Amino acid sequence: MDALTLARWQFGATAFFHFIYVPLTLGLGWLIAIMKYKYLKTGNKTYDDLAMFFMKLFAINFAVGVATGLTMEFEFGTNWSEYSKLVGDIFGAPLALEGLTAFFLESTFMGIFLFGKGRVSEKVHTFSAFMVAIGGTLSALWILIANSWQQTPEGYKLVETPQGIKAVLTDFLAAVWNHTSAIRFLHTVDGGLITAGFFVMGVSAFFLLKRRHVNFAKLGLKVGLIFTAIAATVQVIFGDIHGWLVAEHQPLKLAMFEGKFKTEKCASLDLFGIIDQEKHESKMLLKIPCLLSILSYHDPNAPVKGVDDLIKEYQQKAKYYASLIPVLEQKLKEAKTPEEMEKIKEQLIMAKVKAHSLNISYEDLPSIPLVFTTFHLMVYLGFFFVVVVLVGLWKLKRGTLYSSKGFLWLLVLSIPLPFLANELGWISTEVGRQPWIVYEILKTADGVSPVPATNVAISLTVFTIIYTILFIIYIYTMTRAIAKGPNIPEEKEINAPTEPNPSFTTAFSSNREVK
Amino acid sequence: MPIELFTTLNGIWFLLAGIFLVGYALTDGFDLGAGAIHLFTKDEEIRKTYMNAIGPVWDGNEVWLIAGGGMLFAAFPVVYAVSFSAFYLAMFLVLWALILRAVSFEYRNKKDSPTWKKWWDRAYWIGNVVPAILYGVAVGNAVLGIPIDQKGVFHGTFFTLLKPAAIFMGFVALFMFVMHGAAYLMIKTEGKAFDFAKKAAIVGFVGYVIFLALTDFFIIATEPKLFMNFFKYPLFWIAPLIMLAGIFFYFKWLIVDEKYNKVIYASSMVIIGSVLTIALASYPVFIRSTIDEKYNLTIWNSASSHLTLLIMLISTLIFLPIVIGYTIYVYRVFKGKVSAEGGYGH
Repeated sequence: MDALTLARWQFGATAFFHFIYVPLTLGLGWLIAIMKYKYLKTGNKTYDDLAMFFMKLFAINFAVGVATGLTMEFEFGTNWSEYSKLVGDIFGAPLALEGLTAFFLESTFMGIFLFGKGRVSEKVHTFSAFMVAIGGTLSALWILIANSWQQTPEGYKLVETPQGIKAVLTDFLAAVWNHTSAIRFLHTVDGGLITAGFFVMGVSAFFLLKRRHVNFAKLGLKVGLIFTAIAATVQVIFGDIHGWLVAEHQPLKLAMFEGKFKTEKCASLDLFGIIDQEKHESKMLLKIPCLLSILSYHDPNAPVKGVDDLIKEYQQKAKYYASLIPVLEQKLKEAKTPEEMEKIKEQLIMAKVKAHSLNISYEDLPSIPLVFTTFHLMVYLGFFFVVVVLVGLWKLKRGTLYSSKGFLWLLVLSIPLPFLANELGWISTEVGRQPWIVYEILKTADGVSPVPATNVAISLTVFTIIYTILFIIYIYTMTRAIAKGPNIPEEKEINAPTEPNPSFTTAFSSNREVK
Repeated sequence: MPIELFTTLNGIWFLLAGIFLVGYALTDGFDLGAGAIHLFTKDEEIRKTYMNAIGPVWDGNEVWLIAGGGMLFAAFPVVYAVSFSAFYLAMFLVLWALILRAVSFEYRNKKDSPTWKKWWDRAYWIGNVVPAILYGVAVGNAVLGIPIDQKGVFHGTFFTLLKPAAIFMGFVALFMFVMHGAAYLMIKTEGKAFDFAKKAAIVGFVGYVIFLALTDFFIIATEPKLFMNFFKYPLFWIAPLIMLAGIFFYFKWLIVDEKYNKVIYASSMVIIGSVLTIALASYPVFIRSTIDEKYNLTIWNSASSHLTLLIMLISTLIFLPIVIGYTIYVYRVFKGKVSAEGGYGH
């Protein structure tokens, strides 16, 4: 394999692994903050027990998330140095701002949150919980701004330098607030909230099924359910808007999402299907007529372009830009004023870049079945989550939520599903962005570092080993911590006398048991 | 002193890059130092005490590295891209080590089994020693030069980076962090944990002085032009003078006056002085090219646009003081001695 393929595998694998932990950190931070807040407001000790218990799980998750997140920042330089040189002027800023405004906040208050109980007042402790949640969310904001800029770049111009052509920032707010950053942020963070909601519901359901810490688990389930109900319902709206923006700005990605090779008017939404990429064919089951046109363009008659036509369109555009180059070069020679020269130069660079980057062939496309399947599975899971929470709410109203064993088991088994949905969405959007690393400007192949393939092979191998071990240990410690349960004595559970300084163990320190 | 250090955005960002490098060394430096002596005591109580002393703060400290990397990316993307891809395997060694350290904190005490702890202790030690040494090796290579061409493509291997002077600088960094880590532990611990930290401080001090002398000797012998800047800009002597004052006070407070709570100020001076000495010696070059002087990556040819530098400068001026503010607050919260018992004693 060549260095490019290996580098793509490494980035994909390490990002996939990192993104296992991130959504839970994002969402659980808010849930814990809410629990702490409820404890402050109501004085109900169980809220505090919930917060302290989930804080331990949060800490385990957070540690792996931070450790693997560092990898991502390194890899832009190690494996994608050409990309970093070309767009660093724009792409570097959100990463730096992430460190400055989010990571410091999150990590510093994490220290108070984990170790500060008893040292600081309950108010400060709750405040720390909120700072951790806000820090995590800000970090999501910055990194998704950076990612959105790759998907829908704005606020830049291209300039020629001795080290090659570079994208340079012209309008900071336009680059930051590009077409898709807001919705990408909302959609991803909400994915995290759903993940955490299902996590809290599932763990609470587990205690209820085992008849341990019943009051504790009941409250956890209720908080988790209401939280998730809101998050999962809102996600349907976010998902719709997101899809609509993809249709507008990345039609090729939409065509791959939906497995459309030919342009269709009044395009159908196909629920299931098999795609043969070589033959440019898809066999679909359950077609809902015109729905895709309605969803994508909010107009039943709008045509949805197919992959084949889009490729042709891109090639025509590339030819057009290529034909512009000699014309502009001629103009540049004839230009009289420096302003005119500057303007033509800019157009010339753009033409050169576009003539190269838009010249894509069918073979450059990623696996369409992968994009199609991951996208569709994510959507189905999203609707499944809505159904689950609606059933849950109905059971809560009828008063049978805590006793229906089947439903509780469903909740326990559903814990991994939002994790899966997050990854599926991430795969479909990132693979669907190919063959570009910056949409329609820079091909992924042109962004890779000039590093020998052996080096990448070595690092990929070590990452695979380290991450596999990490994952096993993560699952092991997580399940152990859950099985151990909260630090509250079982029999004293109801109306437990509030101790002046409740004994607790922190994630980092000794595990002295409360007998 | 060259006036453009303060009057141009590129110059100011050179100073800011130095501040982040110093910030990381000052904060995470004592974590690395405390971790580097971890395996040299067999006493479980001391080990646990030390980990508890670091526990609440190491995570925030490591962010200096992440933020520094981000700052470098934003302000000098070419330096970021070239250094990370040229030091490919070295960078990943640092990264894997930091991952090991992060998870060791989290997992070491999750189980009361001696074998479990033995392996996590080793992982933890590696996770501290490797970044400490490579910090110095990386800075050393940037200053001494690596084979990069006009496009910033690196023509060498991992072993190109292992020049003697760069390796000596790796050990300078390691012992510097041991000095700093021991100074921190002397404040945070008492009893036998304190006694061991005091011993470590002496070892760190001796090691630092020896390797500093070796490095200087090597550079004077092989690359004397690295000292040119100090003759061109006499005010640059401030940095080595801070370093020498740090060395003097470290000895004075540790050995002569036995003012153990003050030693950390001396080690901080040593760190600030050492890092700034190297940065100023190299100015305005970030990474020297051994192929041709004109391929050097300087603050002029590898910086971001004016607009990006300005936006990042404003953001830094707003947020960095806030960060420093709440960091100081956290250190205040966790003031006092720690023990091996859960979280914090008393």
